[in-house]
Amino acid sequence: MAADLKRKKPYNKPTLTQVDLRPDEAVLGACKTASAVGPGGGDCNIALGGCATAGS
Amino acid sequence: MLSAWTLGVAGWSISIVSEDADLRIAPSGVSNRFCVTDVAPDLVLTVRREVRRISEDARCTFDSGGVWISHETATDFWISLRSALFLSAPYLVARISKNQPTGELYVHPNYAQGRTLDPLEYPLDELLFLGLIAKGQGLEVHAAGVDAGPHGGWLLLGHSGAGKSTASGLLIESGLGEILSDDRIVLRRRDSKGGSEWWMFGTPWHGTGAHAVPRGCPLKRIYVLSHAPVTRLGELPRSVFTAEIVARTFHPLYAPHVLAYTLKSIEHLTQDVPCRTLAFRPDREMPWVLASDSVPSTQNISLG
Repeated sequence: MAADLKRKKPYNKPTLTQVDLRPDEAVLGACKTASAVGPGGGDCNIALGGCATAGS
Repeated sequence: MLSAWTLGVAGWSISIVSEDADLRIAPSGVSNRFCVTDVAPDLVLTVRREVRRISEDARCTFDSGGVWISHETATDFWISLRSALFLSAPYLVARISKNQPTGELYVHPNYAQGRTLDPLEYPLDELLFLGLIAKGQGLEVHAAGVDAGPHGGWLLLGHSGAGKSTASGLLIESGLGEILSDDRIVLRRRDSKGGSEWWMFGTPWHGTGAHAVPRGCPLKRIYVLSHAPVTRLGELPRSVFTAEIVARTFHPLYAPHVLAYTLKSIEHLTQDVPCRTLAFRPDREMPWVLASDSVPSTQNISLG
């Protein structure tokens, strides 16, 4: 057990990674595609007023 | 005239009931594939034709900046859908009780006039299911899901434009499997021999490829998609994969009290299921790169 305690983990230098976040898609506030409103289909009625950007 | 049906996604279900003889309602489009019977619904919503405004004492919990906005009172959650065509009031309002698995859907009379309406039309259906999924410690992710038969289930995570529908099309052409969805997949744990395992399920909220299959399969691999001149698999530290999955998960923003469940579920997911990056060229080689991915099923690189 003492040997285990002495065995150190390899050191990894801290790194900063940028992750791409798409808030307009994440909030379900937009149409799914540019050509079809709602979930990729033509029957979603948010075409009546709410669509803004493609989200599929 | 009673209209009623139950919509089921990944084992969760919402029932719609209406007793208004003058209100024509029915599930629309792909939702018809997801209608279920003989289940005890997780939520029962009664549809009413009524102009409904949110009470002034309700607290706004999230404004999408788009179609929907959510509020909260002591007893209920509220989700309103708004449109420039109905400036005075929302065209659809959902009230969900905090204490009972029930609620109402208020349809603006002008919105229902002269047509058959699906009161659970997008995005309301997805918003309501998100709450159920998160409370049940599941996840909804922006991904295509492939049931690759003996290879297991592959999850292809990606934002818009990452290539989910393209990759789905290539996989169909290759004959390697069936696409459960080319845009939204629900993940949840199910009991299995020796413990539990992650499953993935198709949803009604498909992409341009229109793939929406109301069933699931065991999840064996997760791939984060991107474009590349040559198809290749890659590795990332588990912490980065976790962040990439968080960024492609749909969170119940109107119910922040269940957000902790979502984050915990993502942590378990990256512990349990191998993750890779898949930078791919849209050609016939890509499906076979996935099929030949032979990393042992219990390992994820954990550099941080």
